[in-house]
Formats: sequence, structure tokens, C-alpha cells
Amino acid sequence: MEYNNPLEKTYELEIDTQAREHLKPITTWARIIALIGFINVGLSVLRFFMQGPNSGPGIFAGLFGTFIISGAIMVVLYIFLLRFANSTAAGVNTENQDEFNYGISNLKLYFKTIGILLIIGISLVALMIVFGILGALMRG
Amino acid sequence: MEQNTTQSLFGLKVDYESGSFFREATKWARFIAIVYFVLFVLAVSLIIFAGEFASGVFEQLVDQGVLPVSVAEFKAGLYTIVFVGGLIGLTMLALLYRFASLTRQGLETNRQASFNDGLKSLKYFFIISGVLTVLGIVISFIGTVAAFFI
Repeated sequence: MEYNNPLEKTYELEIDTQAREHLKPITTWARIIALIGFINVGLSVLRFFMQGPNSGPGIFAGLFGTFIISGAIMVVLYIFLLRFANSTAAGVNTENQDEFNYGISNLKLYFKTIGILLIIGISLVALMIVFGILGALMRG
Repeated sequence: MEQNTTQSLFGLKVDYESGSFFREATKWARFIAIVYFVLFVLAVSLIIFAGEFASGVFEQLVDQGVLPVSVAEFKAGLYTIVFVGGLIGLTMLALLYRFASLTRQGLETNRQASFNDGLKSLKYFFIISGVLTVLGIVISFIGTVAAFFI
């Protein structure tokens, strides 16, 4: 038996021919961006280990920590983007609603992660400014 | 009979699940576009200010013969980079904002045309991002190859 929750909003929108025409290049380019992103992370790892050991051990450890965190974040973002591209394209091609929904959920995760990272980044910069002003006031 | 995977007879539609995913995606996309716009304005102001400030330093470097360009050439180069970069950046932000606004409008009013226009903006956003990513990897590759020889 199908149960319809009256609180659930219903949409009368379809993934029609025009929407499909837009979704195809979206998924193609999203896939390209994700794959190139993975290659870029790989190249960055290569460059890091080629240039990193030239600096002192303390600096290298600090740089390594930062590098690992930023690299992991980038990989997670590209995974979301790749999943969005693959699942949405598969959903559109095979008319599979579940696959399509899973793809769109990954687009949501992709934008949400970027948004949260932006909030964290801005908060850190704001904190640094506040501590900088406090430090300057305490010194002078 | 119930099926595990939904395969609609009438093709794909924006059901409750995908609709809520789209809504949340547009909410975050709009937030990203607005925040980046504010950061963009700040960055452009800072670059222009720094350019004015740095021109004195560059004047000294030109006088000493360290730089092969004049201060006017340096400033023209800096402003060209800021202008071109700014134009691309603003276009991308406008497209992301349009995707967020139109798709959300389409979902709220059940207007197919708005929803499709939103997707169209997302398409152009991804095309520009993709082209920039390809350029980025080419530059990154050249950098890595150069690092081998330095």
C-alpha cells in the first residue's frame, strides 16, 4: 500500500527533453572536473615529496599535515562530484529514479561541503583578525 | 507488486526526494555565490590598493634595473589580469546564483521553464569550470615537469 504523507511537498516537474539536454553536458563536465581534480591531487603529492624534504624537518611536518588535510578534503569533494556525474547520467539514460535521486543527493553534498568549508575558512580568518588586533593592543 | 528500484512509466520526475535534494543544493549554491561575491569585491579592492601601494616599490626596482618592465606596463598588466579574472569570476558567480534562484523558483511554483533555465545556468557554470580546470591541469603539469629539472 502506498502511503502519501500530506506534509510532503509534491512537485509537478519532470526531467523533460530540455532538462535532459542540460543535464548531459553538466554530468560530462562534472566528470571531467572530478577526474582532472584527482590527477591534480596526485600531481600535487608528487610535487610535494619532490620539493618538501628540501625544507627543515619541522616545516616539512607542518606542511605535510596541512597538505594531507587539504588533499583529503579535495578528494572527498571530487568523489561527490564524480558520484553526481555518474549516477545522474546513469539515471537519465536508464530512466532510473533512484539512481537519479542518488546523483542529485551528491550534488547537494558537493555544494554543502563547499559551503561548510567557506564558513570554517571565514571563521578562521575572523578569529585570526581578532587575535591579531588583541595581540597588537596588548603589546602597545 | 513493489519494486526496489523505481522505473517510472512516465520517465524521470522531480519527486519528493530529488526535490528536497535540489532545494538544499540551491540553498548552498546561493550561499556560496553570495559569500564568494563579497570575498571577490574585497579581493579586487585589495589588489587595486596593493597595486597602488606596490607601484612605489616597483618604481625602485625598475630604477635599479631589476625589472625589465616599466611601472606603467606593470600596472597595465596587473589591471588586465584583475579585469579578465574578475570578469570570469563574476560570470561564474552570476551563473551559480541564477541556477540557485531559478531552480528554486521552479520547485516552489512548479514551473518547468524556470527549473530548466536553472539547469541551463548550471550547465554553463560547469562548462566554464571545466575549461578552467583543464587549463589548470596543463599549468600544474608544466610545473611538475619543471620541478624535475630545477
